[in-house]
Amino acid sequence: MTSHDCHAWADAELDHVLASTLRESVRGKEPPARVRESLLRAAEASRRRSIRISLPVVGVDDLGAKGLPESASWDHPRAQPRSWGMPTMVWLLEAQFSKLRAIG
Amino acid sequence: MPVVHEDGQLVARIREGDLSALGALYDKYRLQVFHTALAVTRDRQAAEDILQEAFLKVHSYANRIDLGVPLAPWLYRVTVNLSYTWATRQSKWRTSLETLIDRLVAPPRAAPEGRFEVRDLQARIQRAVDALPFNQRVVIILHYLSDLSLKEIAYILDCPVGTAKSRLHYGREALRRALSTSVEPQATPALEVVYDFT
Repeated sequence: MTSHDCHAWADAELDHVLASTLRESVRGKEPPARVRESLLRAAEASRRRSIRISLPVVGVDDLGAKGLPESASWDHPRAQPRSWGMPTMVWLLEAQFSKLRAIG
Repeated sequence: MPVVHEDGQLVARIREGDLSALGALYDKYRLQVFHTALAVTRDRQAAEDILQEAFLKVHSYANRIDLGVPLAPWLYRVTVNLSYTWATRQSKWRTSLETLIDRLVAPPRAAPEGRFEVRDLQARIQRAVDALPFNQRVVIILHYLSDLSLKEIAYILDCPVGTAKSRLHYGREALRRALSTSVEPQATPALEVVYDFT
């Protein structure tokens, strides 16, 4: 390396040439419109998934703690027993009493 | 009541499920993100993927974004992290491919600088930037392309300002050396021929 070369790449010149080269390398380059479309489609799909996940599922176990919502009933498919807890036993007893009432 | 930045207003709308706000943020920042990713990766397809992924993260993490500040620094940070992930994967592939080629191509060969005549200054600079270690390359790009201060770069890279400053310094020195030596290419000794078919 000669002293001339060192002088040629003084700070200011190096700064200038670096900035202009990097800016030139991306000048006029734009992402295609499909990236935006794809982004919004993916975000919409993600939003729908999160809504589905956050929907409250009313189960018998939940009812035991929170009480029976007005709109819910034992016949509602979501209210079917999921485990053998106290609410399930109540549900079974009610079914048995119904049978007995029907017989008797 | 905390002041909400105009970007924060859009992020608040995204939280409520308004995707047109995400589109508005994309329109505002897409070039900054795309150009940064393109400058770091030098791969158009990768830059497009990073662009989409960065804004998907805005959507996914909208609840965690500070509404009182501009979104740009956060977006730059995400862009750099995604670019780093891409570069790491790419370098593994490239290294294994180069190793394979090295084993197959036995004849002695000179270093690239010795083989090709350097014609264009910008091409030389671009190659020199591309050859920098990732951490220095990112600082150089954020400083010279995106015109960011050392404080902003330090936030984006999640490092002390002094670290960003030293990376910029070492990056510039490496570029200065690379450009100076490329003016007067030095003869590179031929590599030893190794036949290794094991």
